[in-house]
Amino acid sequence: MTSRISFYKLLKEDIKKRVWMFLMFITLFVVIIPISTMIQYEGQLAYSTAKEIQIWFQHDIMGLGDVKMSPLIVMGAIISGITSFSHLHSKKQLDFYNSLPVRREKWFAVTYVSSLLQIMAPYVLGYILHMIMGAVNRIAVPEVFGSALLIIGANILFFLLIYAVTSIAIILTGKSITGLLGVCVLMFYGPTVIALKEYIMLQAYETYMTTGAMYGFMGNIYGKRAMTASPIMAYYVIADKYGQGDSITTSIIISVIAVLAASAAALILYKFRPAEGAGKAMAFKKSEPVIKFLAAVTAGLLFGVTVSSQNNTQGEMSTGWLFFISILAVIIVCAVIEFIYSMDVKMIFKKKISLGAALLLTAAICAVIRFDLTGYNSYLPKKEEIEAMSIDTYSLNGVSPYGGYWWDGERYKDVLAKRKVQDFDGIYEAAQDGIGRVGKHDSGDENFVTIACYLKNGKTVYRSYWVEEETLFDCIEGLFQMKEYRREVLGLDQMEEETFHTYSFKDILGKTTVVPVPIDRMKNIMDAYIAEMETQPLSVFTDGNVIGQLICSEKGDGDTYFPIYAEFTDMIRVLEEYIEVPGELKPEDIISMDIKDFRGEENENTYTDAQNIKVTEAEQMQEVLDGLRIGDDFIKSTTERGLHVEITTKYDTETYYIRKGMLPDFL
Amino acid sequence: MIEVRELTKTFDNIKAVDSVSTTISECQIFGLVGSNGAGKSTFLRLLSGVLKPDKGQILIDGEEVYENSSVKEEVCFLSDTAYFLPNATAKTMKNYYKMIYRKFNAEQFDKLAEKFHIEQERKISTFSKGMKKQVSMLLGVCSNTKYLLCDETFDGLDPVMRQAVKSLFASETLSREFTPIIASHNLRELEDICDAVGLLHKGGILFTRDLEDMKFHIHKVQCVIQNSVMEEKLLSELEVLQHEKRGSVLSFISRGTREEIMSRVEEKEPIFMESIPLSLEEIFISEMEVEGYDIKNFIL
Repeated sequence: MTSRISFYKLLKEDIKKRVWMFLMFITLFVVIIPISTMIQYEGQLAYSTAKEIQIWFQHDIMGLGDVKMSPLIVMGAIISGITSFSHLHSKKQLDFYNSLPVRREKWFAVTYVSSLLQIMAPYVLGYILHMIMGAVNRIAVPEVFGSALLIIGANILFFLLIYAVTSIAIILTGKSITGLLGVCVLMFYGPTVIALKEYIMLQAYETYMTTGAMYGFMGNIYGKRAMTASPIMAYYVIADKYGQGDSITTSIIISVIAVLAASAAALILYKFRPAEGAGKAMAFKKSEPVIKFLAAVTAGLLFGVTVSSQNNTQGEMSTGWLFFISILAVIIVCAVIEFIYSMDVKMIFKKKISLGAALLLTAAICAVIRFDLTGYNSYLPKKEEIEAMSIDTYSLNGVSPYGGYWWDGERYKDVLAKRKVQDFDGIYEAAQDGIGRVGKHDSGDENFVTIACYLKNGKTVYRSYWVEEETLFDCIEGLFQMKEYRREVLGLDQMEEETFHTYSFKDILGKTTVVPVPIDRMKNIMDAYIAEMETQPLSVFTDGNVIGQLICSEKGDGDTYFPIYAEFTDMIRVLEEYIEVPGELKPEDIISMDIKDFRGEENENTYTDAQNIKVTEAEQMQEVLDGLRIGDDFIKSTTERGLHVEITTKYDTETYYIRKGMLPDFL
Repeated sequence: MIEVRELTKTFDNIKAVDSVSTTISECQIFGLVGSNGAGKSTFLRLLSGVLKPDKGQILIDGEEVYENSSVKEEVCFLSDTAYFLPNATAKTMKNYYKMIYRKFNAEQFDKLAEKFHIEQERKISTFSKGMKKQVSMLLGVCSNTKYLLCDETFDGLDPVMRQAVKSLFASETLSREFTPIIASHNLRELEDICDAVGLLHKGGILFTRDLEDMKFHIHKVQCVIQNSVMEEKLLSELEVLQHEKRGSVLSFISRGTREEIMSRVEEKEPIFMESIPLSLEEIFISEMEVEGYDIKNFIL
């Protein structure tokens, strides 16, 4: 049966009912923000170039996820979502609206369109005003007009998504306070669960692939994967993507599906929502134990894992605290939620099934993660199941200025994929070595590696291990025979693309000299360097002495330092065509040599307590220089611990180390 | 006609309406009586389509009411605490109802508002409880729906207004197809207006009766019959619901028309006899006692 009441009249009435919202947003979008933009623009004129103003206007004012209008769109979506369905929390209003001869689908459509019009019509108007303002003041580049439809469309899309999710929260609940809590939960439960999963894996499993840092729970919340599970945060992730010039087509398609799904869910819930839900915490009785269960398990694990891993050691949580805090948190959260439901202290432990289920699942998860019941740490696919493997060690990051991706966690899997090799025996051995060291590594003669196994069935298994340095050295040495692997690890492709305008050389004495190379021969320098990087054995990088650094400058982009090893003979020959390249330090070059000795147990890590040994005799100096290791340790630890050699020449002061087994007699 | 079949509604394991079956005929004023918590409001909320029945059926003119807008166009529900739109005046509410109910009679509303001294331009939030009730009542009546469901209608109205509203209901019933269903915990409020009354107790309708029919077929008589054998014979011949003897005066309530009862009494050669009018409350108490309920405790 269809209602004969005009949709447009109902729409008009709904707008009238919530006219304050329209007035507020039209004032903000059409008056306040344009005026503030104008004031800001006038201010910009004093200290920014025309191009900078254009960029500011294009990105900060007219861009997706702009600083002014986008927060208002988010706010508007939440406010309109709440006001559209807040009558469901009042028995009086519900009796009125539900008794009227209007089908719920029609009410839903009316509030949906009304909300869209009241918030987004002022936004579109404001956006157009800004475009006019930009055109008049000539600060709008053509891209602003070209992307206007896309940005408006994307903003409308996210408005609808946030609106629909807010509506779901309000429809599911029966009280304003639980409605607001519901909005927060739906907006942030997804990221919380994803971040919690990540956090638990990090804390519980030593071999869980991390990007090096032990992120805290909140750190994980802001991970891109977690953020996309929240409509609000996903909006800014996509805006950021768009701002960086990446394609957002897939994101938009997913968002459209999400909008349709969330709107359909809201409509179905609204249609079947029982009127007696008004005044109760949850409108749907059946949702009560589910919500309680989900919240209790999440909170239990969060508190349990957070407290028990305060020692900040991956995979070594305190067992007792983990179980105690998790179970305690589950009991408290269940009691609180039950109290919210019933407002009756006597009821807090009455519903035993959901409490029991939450306790059971939490305890089971704690047991699984704490005692590795699934064998996560020891799992390594059989060789015949593996198609390819990949390895990365942070220990090689400093070898080349273009090597190492540890700073970009989000793309780490892509980095590993680029280093995929079919001949993976060495990597497999390294992984086996790593598994053998789970729970007993001492981080002395070991290196941290991440390994990916690309299985024949299409799955990929990622793990991190501590691997003994000789095993890792053999593995990497084998891989360095593969040209592509080496080029990828050392970032040689990027080096080839660089165009530097100045070369300088800082020699072993600390003296920096400009390399007077003619422009047409500049490329030869870099080619020579790349040739050395492509051909030198791994031992050069792990054991060799750095005799200087090639400093390459690019206009406005700072300097890049390329280490030159003594074994880079071809490269040194090329440099020597323009400058002098001293190959070693001699006692006569040294103004002072101080050895800081903090090998004693008590002051091992305390520089201030170090014993200072001044070396003045040329003979002793030569003895030290013979065993000097100039350069950083990669893979292998080649130097004596607790000894720093501070050498001052007439150009510079540098700290070096002494090679293992080459300690001078006087030390 | 409203047909209710085995209607059940439960809130948190409490049966607010329990297997209620009844029929409410058209063009009569139907009173729904019951103590607080008897299920009157729930019953009306079910009839108006606000609540969905857990079990059973509500058919209004042969169609289910829940989520059926065409049926709801003929039903107007006035809850015990009326809701008005934010910042609404009587005029804005009139316009809103006019938009919702096709047959809303705005002219009638204007006339009645004048009669009831309701300022249409004044914000309803500034009205007294009784005035709000009046506005709600006028909106309901002027909606011109076939069925008007009123929850505790007279609560908050002063005696003059109460009478005025009753007159309004009566005249509407005479002038058009109009079936008001009035829920109240007070039997006395309903006896001079209702054509039929249903009694709700603990979620169930104990019975439904036509008031005229009830009044016509039940009477209270006081008489003095000297012969005790004749007295016994009289009580056995009549369908007596209650009887009591104080001194030589026999009082009884019996089913049957006044003529039938009085002729039987006369046959027993009484030295005194008279028929006393029964209040609705007395009729109900008598009927309920016959049904086996002691309702003195839950009816005012």
